[in-house]
Amino acid sequence: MHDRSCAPVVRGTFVGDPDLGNRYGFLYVFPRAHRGTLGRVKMRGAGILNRLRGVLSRHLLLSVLSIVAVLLPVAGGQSLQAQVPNLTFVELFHTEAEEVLQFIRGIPGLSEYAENGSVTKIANKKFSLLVNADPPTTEALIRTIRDYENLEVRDRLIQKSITIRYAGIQLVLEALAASKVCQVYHRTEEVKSDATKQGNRTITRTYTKAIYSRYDAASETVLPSWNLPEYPYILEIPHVDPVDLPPVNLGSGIEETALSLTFQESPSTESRNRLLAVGTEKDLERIQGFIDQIDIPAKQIMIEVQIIELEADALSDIGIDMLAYEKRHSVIDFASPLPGEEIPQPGENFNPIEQAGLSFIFDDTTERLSAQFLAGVHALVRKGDAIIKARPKLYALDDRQSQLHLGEKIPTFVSTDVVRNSTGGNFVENINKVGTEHIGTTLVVKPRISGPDENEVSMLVDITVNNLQGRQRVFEEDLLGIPEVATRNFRGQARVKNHRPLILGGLIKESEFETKNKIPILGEIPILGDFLGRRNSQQKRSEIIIVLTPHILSEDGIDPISTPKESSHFDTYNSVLFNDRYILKGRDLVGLDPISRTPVEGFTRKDVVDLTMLSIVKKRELVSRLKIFEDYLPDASASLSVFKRRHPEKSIRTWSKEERQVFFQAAAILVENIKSLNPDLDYQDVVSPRREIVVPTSPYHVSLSFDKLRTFYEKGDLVVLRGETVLSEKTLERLRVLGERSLDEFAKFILLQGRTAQQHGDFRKLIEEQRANLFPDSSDPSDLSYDQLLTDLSGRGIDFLAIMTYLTARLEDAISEGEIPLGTLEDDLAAFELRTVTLDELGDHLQDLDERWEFLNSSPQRPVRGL
Amino acid sequence: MKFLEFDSVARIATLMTFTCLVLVGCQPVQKHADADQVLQDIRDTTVIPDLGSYDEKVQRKALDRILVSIDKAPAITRNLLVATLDDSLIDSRTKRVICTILAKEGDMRILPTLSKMLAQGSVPEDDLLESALVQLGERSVQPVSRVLAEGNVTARRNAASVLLSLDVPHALDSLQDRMVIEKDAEVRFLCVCGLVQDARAQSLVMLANALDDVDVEVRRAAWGGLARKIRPPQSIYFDASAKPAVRSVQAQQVRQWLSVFRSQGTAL
Repeated sequence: MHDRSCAPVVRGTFVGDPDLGNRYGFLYVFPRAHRGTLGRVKMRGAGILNRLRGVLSRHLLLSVLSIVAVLLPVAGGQSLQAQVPNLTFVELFHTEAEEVLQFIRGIPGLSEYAENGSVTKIANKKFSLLVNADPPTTEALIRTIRDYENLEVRDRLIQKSITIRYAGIQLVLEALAASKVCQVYHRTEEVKSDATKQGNRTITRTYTKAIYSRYDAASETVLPSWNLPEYPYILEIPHVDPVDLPPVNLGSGIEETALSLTFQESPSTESRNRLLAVGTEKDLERIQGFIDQIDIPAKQIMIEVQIIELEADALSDIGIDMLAYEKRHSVIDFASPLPGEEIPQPGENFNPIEQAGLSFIFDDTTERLSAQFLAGVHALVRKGDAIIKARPKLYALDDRQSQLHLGEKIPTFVSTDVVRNSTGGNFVENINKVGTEHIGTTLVVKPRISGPDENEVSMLVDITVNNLQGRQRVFEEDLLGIPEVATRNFRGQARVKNHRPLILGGLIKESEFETKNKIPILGEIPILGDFLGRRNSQQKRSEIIIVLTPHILSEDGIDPISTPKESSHFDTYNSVLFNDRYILKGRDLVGLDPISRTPVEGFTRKDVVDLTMLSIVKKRELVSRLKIFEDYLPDASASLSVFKRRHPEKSIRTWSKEERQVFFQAAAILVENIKSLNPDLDYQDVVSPRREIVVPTSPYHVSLSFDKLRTFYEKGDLVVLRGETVLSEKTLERLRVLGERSLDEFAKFILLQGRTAQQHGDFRKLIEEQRANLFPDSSDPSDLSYDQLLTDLSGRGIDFLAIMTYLTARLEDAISEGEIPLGTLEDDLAAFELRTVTLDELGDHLQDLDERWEFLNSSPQRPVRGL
Repeated sequence: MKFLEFDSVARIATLMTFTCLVLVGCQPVQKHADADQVLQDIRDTTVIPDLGSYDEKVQRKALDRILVSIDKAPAITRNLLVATLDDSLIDSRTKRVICTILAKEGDMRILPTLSKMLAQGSVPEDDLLESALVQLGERSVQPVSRVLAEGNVTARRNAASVLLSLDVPHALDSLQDRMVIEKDAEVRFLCVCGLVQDARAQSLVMLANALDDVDVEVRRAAWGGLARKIRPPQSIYFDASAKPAVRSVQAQQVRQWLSVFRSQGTAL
């Protein structure tokens, strides 16, 4: 009982009865017997305690007792050690187990180990042996076995130089050693010193010698390196840096005091990062295979940074009302407290990082909002209420830090008191010098690719914004004054999807300007001058928004996102000369009766918006100017002739129906993009006079939208705000809109979203009932999961329209009274509706609209002329 | 002889030298030509040369300032911009930008420069030039048509593209005229696009004639446009990539049907 509950020290590889694992598990259990022992010790020691009470403190005594209690089970464990077999598996690299056993049997003195079972074969393992002996014997046996292995190998040894291309040499060496792939030698320095006495002096001499040491596992680890054969081995090919470069301090460049180079010896031109591998051909293949797994390049991430300064109240002026989003979203009011303002208290939506001065405005879950927000900021930039202070692009390797400094260094006064000893006593000497202080923005980002599809970027962000508030004279010698620097620092982590912006905000800066108007000369007169002039003070409240957009760069060829696309389209007047605003004119409106100002029969208001956007795309020739075919539809457009690709808008009327599909897909990308740039654009806006809209002017803008679109198709992770609902007319309308869409697709969608039947309230019950009514002979659906039930219904020809019809007929009263809870079904249906729109469908929709409109206008009964 | 003493001679020589120096020094410096001076001043003192900068920030800044200037002092700014078009030291990119600005202002003085740049045909798919010419509207048809008739291949392609964008009857007429004699397939392709764009009945005949074009893309475009305009019955078919003999028969059928179609006076 006592022994079983202790953790033994097991040497070698532990094998044997699996029950042993339970009995001698590594989980330390404080034994009941020991608790009894502890109790007895306490009791017996009571008299001693009384005597020592005056000498030792109570805490000390308790410590002693604890140590005793801990040592007891360890001692017990040691007594157990002898009973555990010392089993070691030996993996043979070059010789079969049977051959080794024959050799052992043939050597007097060694044969007994084979006969008594100390060295045995393992069933079905040709290249493995099991050694069951005490540790010294095991080590001696394995050394002998390894020596025997080496006999055969020497003639087959080959050397190979392996160049490590991406990984660090040390990393590769350590990985090889830790994985027991081969012996590993690395270059170290052995330093020896000796001291000789010469009279009263002791002369110490130090010798440094470069030696190759074997990478050895740390003591007490399971497999020591003697377990490996001498071959194969790998060693680092040494090199000497011929030049000592001056040290570089991160963030501040080369140290000024060390600008000279030191040449050690003549420059060497050997190739670097090489390892020498020695072993048989098979060994080297194994080593190379292992290295190939490690030596892979890190992916590159480009981070687009936008630092935007805008009027603090300007966002609400253009309709971005943060509070409006709070109702259904966990968006935090991002304004940080100013001095004197109330500090936000931890609450439902409180984020502790808010206190740091900056906070996340939007994260990845607020995709639509961030698009709206960026469009808003975009509008402000055009109006002049916001300035993009910097738009640098950072390149970083996966999981490596990248740093950006924007700003200036300002001089500051540094005074140092130096205390020197002199024979007359102490005296203080002041040393004054000019130092520098960094003013501006410092951004440190450490991006890491994450997510199941490597489609997300986790970013560790540290932003410091230093502002010069003023200067204050502290020392008499300092005429300029020490700068007063207001620092705001944000440090946090966020995970965003590839190509999605992370928007940080909350840094509010208040500046006060004072202007004085006065009459020349007279205004300078003391006291009287104040009456002859006027002072104006003006406060400006500005906010800094930082937008970080990570782009994982592809390894294959040039990533379109990383190349400065603007340059290739620089000559398009849309992107450079005139801004991206476009004022909708009467002739742009398509699908609208010019007299009644209502949509033409057969066209809805939504169709009018789509047709109008399409006409803008065509008129401004955006498909060709923004190179949509080349960048987004290269495969689909490959079938088009060169002339058609070059002049799509001009020649579209000559295209075949199939070719036109490609054009309308390209147009659909742009129409969706215009919609995302103008999130509040609706029918009323379109028909209102001189409505100004934003149109894409560069492929960059399109790419954002396109990525959003692509994400819809691939992931279906468009966020729709969800809430509990009951069966209502709105639900039925949703079902009607989805109409003949497949329930099977919806099943896949909810499976992807992780929805359960419980989250959709009574919906499952209702569709089960419908199934039972329509198919009375069908099996019991209770065995089916929710998604399987939907798939089953789909297979039986039931679609959303059928469900809607059934619900309307059966539950008319319940609908009006709102009695049937449906959980998040309504919002999931909305999300499904959005998610299932594909580029093909969007393109087909536009094509259908365009053709219907053209037909209408070219038919003899054309209702609208001249549009 | 006293006058010929060395001191006197030296004094006279010094005086004469000094007088010469003063006279030469007082001569007015020969002025450069006025026009050059003005252009240099514009280059040195305005942001106009920055309009062609490849640094977007610089270009944007220059543009903003020029637009503000046009708003505040339109005549002066426009004159400065027009004058810059004659500056040989200003690159063509800047001139294109200037033309686009002036085109927006409707300043016709840029038309010779624009047509000259178009005729040079140095930039394929010259968007800046095209947008400036389109901005000027019908007034640019004549010079552009001249380029279409006389320019090199790139210039003709750009000119055809501009005429197509202008979308006015005169421009389409120019394209139709060129269609018959044009050697470049891309220009002919654009001419066919112009015919498709043309609502007049005569364009149908020309489109039907274009079915015999030597280039398959032109034939395909002609048939695509024709089919779209007149919606022939399924029995009338033209395969642009078929053998010449087959094509000839098919084209003949199309023309016959077209004549019937026209005689019936079906609305287009």
